[in-house]
Amino acid sequence: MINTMKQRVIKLVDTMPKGAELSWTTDLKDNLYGWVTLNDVADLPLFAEKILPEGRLVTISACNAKAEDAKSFHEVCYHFVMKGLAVSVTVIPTGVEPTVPSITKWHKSADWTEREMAESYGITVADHPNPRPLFLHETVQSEAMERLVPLSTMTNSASTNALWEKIMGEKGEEN
Amino acid sequence: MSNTYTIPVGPLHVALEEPMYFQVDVKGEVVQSIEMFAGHSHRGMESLALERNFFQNIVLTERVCSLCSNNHPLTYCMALENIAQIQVPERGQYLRVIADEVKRIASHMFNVGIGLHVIGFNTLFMHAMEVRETMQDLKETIWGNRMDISANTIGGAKYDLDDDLERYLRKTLEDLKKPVEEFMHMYATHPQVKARTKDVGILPPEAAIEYGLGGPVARGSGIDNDVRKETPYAAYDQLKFDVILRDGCDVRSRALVRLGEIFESISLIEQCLDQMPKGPICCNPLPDIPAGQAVARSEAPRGELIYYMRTNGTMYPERLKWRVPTYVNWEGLRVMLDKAKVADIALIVNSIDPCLSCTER
Repeated sequence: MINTMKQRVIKLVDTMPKGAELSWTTDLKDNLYGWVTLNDVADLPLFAEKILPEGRLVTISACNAKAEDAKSFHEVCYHFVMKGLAVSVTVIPTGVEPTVPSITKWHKSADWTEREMAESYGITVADHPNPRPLFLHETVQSEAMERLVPLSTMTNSASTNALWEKIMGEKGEEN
Repeated sequence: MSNTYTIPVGPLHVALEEPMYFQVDVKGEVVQSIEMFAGHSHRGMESLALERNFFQNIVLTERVCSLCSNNHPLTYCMALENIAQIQVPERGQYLRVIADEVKRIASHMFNVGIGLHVIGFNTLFMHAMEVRETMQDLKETIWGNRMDISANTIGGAKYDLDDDLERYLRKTLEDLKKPVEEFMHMYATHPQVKARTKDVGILPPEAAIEYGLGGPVARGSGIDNDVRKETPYAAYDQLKFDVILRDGCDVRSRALVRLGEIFESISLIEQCLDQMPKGPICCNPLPDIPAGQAVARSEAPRGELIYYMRTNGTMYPERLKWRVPTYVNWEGLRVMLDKAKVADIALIVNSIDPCLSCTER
């Protein structure tokens, strides 16, 4: 079964209009893992549609690419499973506002994870059928995973100069 | 004038273990549609994971969820071991299965018990909790904790079983068989339980596939999806067990799958004790963790758990993402609750064995 699925992935990658790279890894139990990088994010809906019916979307991982040779600030990795074969498809969001197309039309399990990616990373998901935030309240700014929030802001704390001077004075230091 | 009303269920509700808000449109006593609002227990754990080194993240991931707390660090360690090609010693692999299956028995008994509480059958609920308590005592004796048992570490297991503990474990499992058999018989035949759970919360197999649902929820609709068989890990490829399937597609089927899995778990642990070789329990020394990426999957009590990790050569993950089984199972409630009675809402929600702390992280 796994070999049949592997051949399906190889054929599928060959049909991508803008091309794609494919590699394979195994774990120590010889379970096979496929890694696909699409050259153009616009090919993602075609891939998502053609991986059906065996392939199901398990989750989506957005991340900030930190490698020196990274092509973009964001990368988005779509994890599918085809009868035991895990296939991860990486794309780079395009546009001034980083954008990826929604694949919820073909994979209902993409609905929540696309919304979570949008609110956590500020990546726009084009044509999502229900684009409201998933976990964060609508008054919370998006890009929750991107922002540095100082501890004093997060804990809503403040101190007066007099208190600060008293502490530093007791430590024998000048402020 | 419309005769459709909107009623709120949650976020704090006596039948929900954790907070979730359901906006339910009803016509008379019949549910027409639902909308779900999550976010009441979001902890930003995936962001926290990036601030912790590989060893600190074992502790963090164990605290994602209490009921499947063993599967999180296990799958996290598996992802890391895949990246660094770390070979877990054979004894360590068997020890991982034992810890996993003990947690599965306790988790399944808890869910089935709560379901009985929801339908008002409190004597059988108490009986379920009594049986589960046996596993809680077992966990406390072997691992020193009733929920977070710290059984896993990178490269193997963090605990070992001596002869005394092994004897105690065998006896506890032996003593568990008869009560669970009686419990399952009562659940399957009692007219009150049958009346409240049969043909309630229907999930057709086509819908389970369409929504990508997993675990006992999908197996209660006949979908064969057990990760332990599909992508073997730890020592599961050395052990014999059946994937429990039911085709009733209702609350009852999902509960009977869980109860059936308890017997498989008992058998798996006994096989581990019979087959487990002597030797090291953990890879030592560990290699440096190189830059790379990996996916690891395991079968948690609620279904497929997947971890994705990306490393960059430092001691900290560049990205750690996990998807828990409940995350996908929520949307299946749209199908299960369609045309359900208002009185069955809590029961149907309970039948997916929901976990908010897992879902929201």
